[in-house]
Amino acid sequence: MKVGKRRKVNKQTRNRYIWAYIFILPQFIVFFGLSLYPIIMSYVYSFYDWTGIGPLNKFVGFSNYISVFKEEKFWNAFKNTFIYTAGFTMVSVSAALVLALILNNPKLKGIGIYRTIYFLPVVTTTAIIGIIMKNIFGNQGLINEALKIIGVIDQAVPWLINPVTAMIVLIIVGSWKEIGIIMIYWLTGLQMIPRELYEAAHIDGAGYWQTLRHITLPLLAPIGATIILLTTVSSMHVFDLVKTLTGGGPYYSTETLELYIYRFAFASDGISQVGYASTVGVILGLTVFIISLGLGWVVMRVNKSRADAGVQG
Amino acid sequence: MKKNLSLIVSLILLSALLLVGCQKEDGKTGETDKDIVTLDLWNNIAAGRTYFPILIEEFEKNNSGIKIKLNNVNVESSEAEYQAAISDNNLPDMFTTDAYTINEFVELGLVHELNDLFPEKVREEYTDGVFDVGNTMVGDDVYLFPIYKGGTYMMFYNKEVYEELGIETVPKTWEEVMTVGKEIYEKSGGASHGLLFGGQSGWLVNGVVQLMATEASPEAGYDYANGEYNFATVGHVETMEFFKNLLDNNALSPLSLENDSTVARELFTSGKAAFLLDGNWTGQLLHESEFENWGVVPLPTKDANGKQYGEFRLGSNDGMYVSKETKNWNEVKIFMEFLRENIYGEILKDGEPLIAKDSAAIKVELPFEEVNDIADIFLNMSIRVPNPIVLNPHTQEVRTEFLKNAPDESIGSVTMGYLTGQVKDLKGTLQKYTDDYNAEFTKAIDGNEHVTKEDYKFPNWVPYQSYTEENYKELNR
Repeated sequence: MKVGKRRKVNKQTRNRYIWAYIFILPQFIVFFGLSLYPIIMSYVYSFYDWTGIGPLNKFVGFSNYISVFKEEKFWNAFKNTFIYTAGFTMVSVSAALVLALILNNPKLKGIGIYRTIYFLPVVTTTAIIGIIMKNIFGNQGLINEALKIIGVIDQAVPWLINPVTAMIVLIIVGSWKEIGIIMIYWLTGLQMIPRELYEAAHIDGAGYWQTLRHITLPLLAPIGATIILLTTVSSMHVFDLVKTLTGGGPYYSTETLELYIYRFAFASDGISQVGYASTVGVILGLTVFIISLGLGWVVMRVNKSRADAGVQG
Repeated sequence: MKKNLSLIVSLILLSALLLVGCQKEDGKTGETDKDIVTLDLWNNIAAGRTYFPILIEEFEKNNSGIKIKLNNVNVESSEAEYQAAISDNNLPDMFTTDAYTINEFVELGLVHELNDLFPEKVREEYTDGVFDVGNTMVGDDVYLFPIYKGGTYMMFYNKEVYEELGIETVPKTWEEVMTVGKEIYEKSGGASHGLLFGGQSGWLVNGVVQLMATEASPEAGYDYANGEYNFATVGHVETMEFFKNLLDNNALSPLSLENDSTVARELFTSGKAAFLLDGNWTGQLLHESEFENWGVVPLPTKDANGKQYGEFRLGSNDGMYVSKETKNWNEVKIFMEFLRENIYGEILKDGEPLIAKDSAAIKVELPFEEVNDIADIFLNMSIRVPNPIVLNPHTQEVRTEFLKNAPDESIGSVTMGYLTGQVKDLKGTLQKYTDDYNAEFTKAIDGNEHVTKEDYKFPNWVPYQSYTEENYKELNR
């Protein structure tokens, strides 16, 4: 054994390495400058009493963290974020699956048109959707007027003024906005299932519901777990829809963590507290990280159990 | 490989050369304009979008060597823009903003003093109180170029709704607002309501409720005699209950609960309500939107002879700052001198009466007659109140400190919570808010060795009367 002897790298391999690093460099700069640096700095700010301007000179240790955990409205925003995330994930993932199953039928005419229609909200600006939906669900909005015309209600339903209905509207609108992209994920999963399995089941006399239950859904489980992971994590960052549709109201009942952070970082009616807002940002980041780890573990388990089942089968 | 590398390097060098060439070309173009100095002006005053372009055009006509680059900043996002500009040490030469207070700007050394522009003789042309410490001055220096003299809230009424429904009484008292509001709802078959305001604009609800609360409780908000905050006054509770009664009796439009002041103004002009609660600038905005059939009266009072008052105070957004880092101070001064002589007339012509200068001396044709009504309401409503900073500048440090840690609540949010049924125990909520607020206030005072609780007490303050220089002297501090 020749300890300490360096492996000889020929000229061609060295040049390849150099070129590889040259190509990686822009991505590295962008990642460090636009992702890693802000994350690191938000951790730094969270230990300072800082308004967002002037020097960082008032180190307060864990004081911001203690204040955050004592703050009633932080926990309210935390709770709201989880309610929204749970509602959004359940509604959007299940509705998108139903749509994907319908649109995966090759016999259905105009599939391309339907897919485009369902995908349109995804590419529409969220803030615009929020403003339009605010008018639709408003006291004298389209929904109330339509319900009055067909005789379902006499008095307008305060959709955005009642805390329960306001959250429901938020979840429904948020789900409707994202359903197109989740449907694409499901369609990808559906198209990965070999057609031979369906043909064999058909020969064995299985109907639609039986193939759905025993072939489609079990084989979709791995991608389903990934979809739930992605949907959960992205929905925890909801901001623009809440800002434009409910403004976090009535009386903070739909205020999510992102909106709470915004309110403190860019206060329009008080002194900005960027240090405090960064603390909440760090807590939100860590929460999302822990949830991602948990769901990631579930994805891994599902994939492993499917692989084991495949080997045994 | 070597050939490829050489080719790529040559291409990069060639591109770089071309880019440098382009830059030189630009430089040559710039050289022909080398005598022109460009000043950046960031504006976030709504009406400034109208009068600044007129003023700039006139200024540039007579000052060919100076160009003013106007950037109208979005009010909603200006906080973030200013944070970024300050962090990059890149503030514009001149700017208007409400993102930070005058004391914060001065404390951080971000703004230029404007003493040369406002010598004692010039200051005499302005409304009393404009050059008070904390308004445009910090210590002995002027830092804010005064454009307005603050603002207040009032009630606008839609004459079209009145004519259409055959109603004649313009309400002055709470009782009349209720009676007329019910009448409007009934006569219009629910298509119109009496009162409307932009409840989603927290600052508006805060300001209106605070002003109305001072009728029953002059100590509402801040008790100048005892030096404590008080948000649990009879005035606050009664005002909030008044709005709730209006809502329950269809005299207040439920649209107030889900819209901000901008949307509420549009709903008002479209006849969804007969009365609109909003700020003094609304007159100019209504005129600009070509809606002319309106009038304006003070906020309604509980008693026919009831009095309300608001603090005469200028905020950052009532004037203009100059960046301390400006490289063109001489040119900025020339533009500022031009503004000092011309801006106030242009604002009056635009329909905003609350200019910082004494408006009697400026002869211009007013665009609509209600301009004078708005000015009168402001004069009757706004008074100079005791300001602890006048006697002890260190009190500003306490203010900054405790406002950062003050409860995450406001009179406006409690009012909206009460109206939407979220706040059940109104008195209890207001008392808790007051107690928490005072606890942080006391903590901030205790943490500052230069300030005591006595600095905040003004026992000789008489409610509803302006606090004068003599009153400060009487305290013998």
